Amino acid sequence: MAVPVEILKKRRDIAKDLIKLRDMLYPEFPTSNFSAIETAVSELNNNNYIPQIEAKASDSNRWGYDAHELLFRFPTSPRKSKPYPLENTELYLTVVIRGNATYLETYNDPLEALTFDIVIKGECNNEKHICTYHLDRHIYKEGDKKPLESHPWYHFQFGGNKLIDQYGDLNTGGVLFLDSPRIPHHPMDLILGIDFLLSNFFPLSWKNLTENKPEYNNLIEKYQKLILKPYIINFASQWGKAILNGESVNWTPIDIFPQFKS
Amino acid sequence: MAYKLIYIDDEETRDINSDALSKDGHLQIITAPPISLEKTRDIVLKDKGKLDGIILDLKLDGNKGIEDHATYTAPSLAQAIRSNFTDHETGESDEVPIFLLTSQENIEKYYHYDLTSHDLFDYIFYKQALAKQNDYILKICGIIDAYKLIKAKDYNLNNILSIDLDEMNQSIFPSKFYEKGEMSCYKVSRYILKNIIDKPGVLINDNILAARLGIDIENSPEFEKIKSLLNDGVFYTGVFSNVFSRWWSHRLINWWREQFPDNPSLIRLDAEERVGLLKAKFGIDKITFAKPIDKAIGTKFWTVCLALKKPLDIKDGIVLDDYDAKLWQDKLYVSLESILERVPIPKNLRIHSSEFERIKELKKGI
Repeated sequence: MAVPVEILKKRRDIAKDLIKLRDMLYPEFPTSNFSAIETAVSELNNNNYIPQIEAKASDSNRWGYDAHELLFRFPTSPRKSKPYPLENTELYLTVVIRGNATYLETYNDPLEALTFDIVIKGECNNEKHICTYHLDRHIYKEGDKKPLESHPWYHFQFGGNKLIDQYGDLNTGGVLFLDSPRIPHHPMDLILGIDFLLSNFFPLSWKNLTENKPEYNNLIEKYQKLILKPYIINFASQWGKAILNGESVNWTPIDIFPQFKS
Repeated sequence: MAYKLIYIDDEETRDINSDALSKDGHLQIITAPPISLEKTRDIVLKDKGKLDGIILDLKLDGNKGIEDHATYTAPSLAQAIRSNFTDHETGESDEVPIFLLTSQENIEKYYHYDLTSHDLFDYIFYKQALAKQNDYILKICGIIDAYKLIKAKDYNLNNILSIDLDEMNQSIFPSKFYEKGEMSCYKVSRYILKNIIDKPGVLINDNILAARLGIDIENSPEFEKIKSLLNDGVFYTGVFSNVFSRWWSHRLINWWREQFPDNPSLIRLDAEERVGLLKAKFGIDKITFAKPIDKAIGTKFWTVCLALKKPLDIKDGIVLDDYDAKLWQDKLYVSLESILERVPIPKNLRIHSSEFERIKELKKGI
């Protein structure tokens, strides 16, 4: 199944933007590793490649990429941490994203699947320390039981499976890790995700880019429109459907904010 | 005291050219025709301690009739001269800048395709322009001064640029520039001129400064007053600053923040807002906010159209492909208008291939 021309065009446009972002990041993080962006770019450009979602049918309208473990090295110890100070602090970002390209620039859910993992590793007194966050798009498969906890379609979570399962042998001292709250959050692709990381963990670079590089700001604005806007519009439509301009959409406010009652 | 130069050219016009360059007394030039490579090199280097610069013509092999005539072009001679500046026994260097003075046609014919020799010369001047208004003497003096300054500052980059480079939070020099033994005046001077002065990025010129402040230079007689407000700190005072007027881009942003702490940062304001704030705060009236170039829309100007030299919002810009660009430099843009009007851009630049389709779409929209 070949990728339709207009879909490939959208995919290539996203690929171009990822390259733009990479070129702006390198001078800020000369010792970091963004080669995962290259993989994402070649997947987007490859007209023989259709990104797949587990347990879902293949769809040639689908766009997506896998960007595994982009590495950002902290130039200095993060200002606040426990333990403190941290050495060799590294942040790994993994984004696996899938969406229906015909839904881009509509008010539909822009994504079909999202894995967005942040892992931060550092050392203090020769002991290794780790911290993880993730932002997921929850996928209900047919026959799934609805979980008891609130599962907003897009939720941000500290810790999660990565911390409890994958690094299960951690010495946690007096700290308690639970299946922590899933906080509703707008979806983020690699571009919005990196902006989020810079604004939180690398404020100097964020300041330099946002105050000095209009190309950076334009890119963020563009992806806010593609990924954030439909989420916010759908969210706001809880208090009046007029905001949808008559468009019928494939999600409801309750999907993204289960606290809504109807 | 005038700077002393030697000028090698196979054409009889060499004395007329040399007169044009020495007319105002800043340069004192002796001329000589080229002979064999070794002999010409020795003539040039004979007085190397007393010489301030060297000018070469590109094609030196025109005098076929005479004995011992030259069979080489300027890049070979420049190479031979450069490798003999340093006294191999004492390690002392008497490096001076080497300029290329050539005709426009020759440079296109012989030099254009040979990218490796582009970096042999400190600057390229055109014979055709000698008779017209030009800034060649100023530039030659500026580059000679730069060599002297780089030596006097003992290759220390902070002192040469007159800034603490750590301020910038990104490295703009290759690592070898920090190894003193590896460096030469030529490498430092050429790198700074080509990458820091000539290309916007860490430094910006007056046109881009005006664009970022939202000012329309042509209709702002008091732009000079605004510039004098920025003299302290934002104005660049390092090497070449006597020839090229430049401003530190990061310091402009910081300056704005200090002046207007309650307003959004400079980049988020449109031209009218920027100029409005300047007028209100400094009581300067005769400045006008810039308007977009024809067919452009954005007014958050951050650069200029490279062809028209007018303020341009990057959203409207068409990006150029710059073969030699460093990632930390600003991208170069032109406006759609300049493309439609076929306003020329420097020969080494092209419209980036990723923009071809967008240009088609934009043209359709007119």
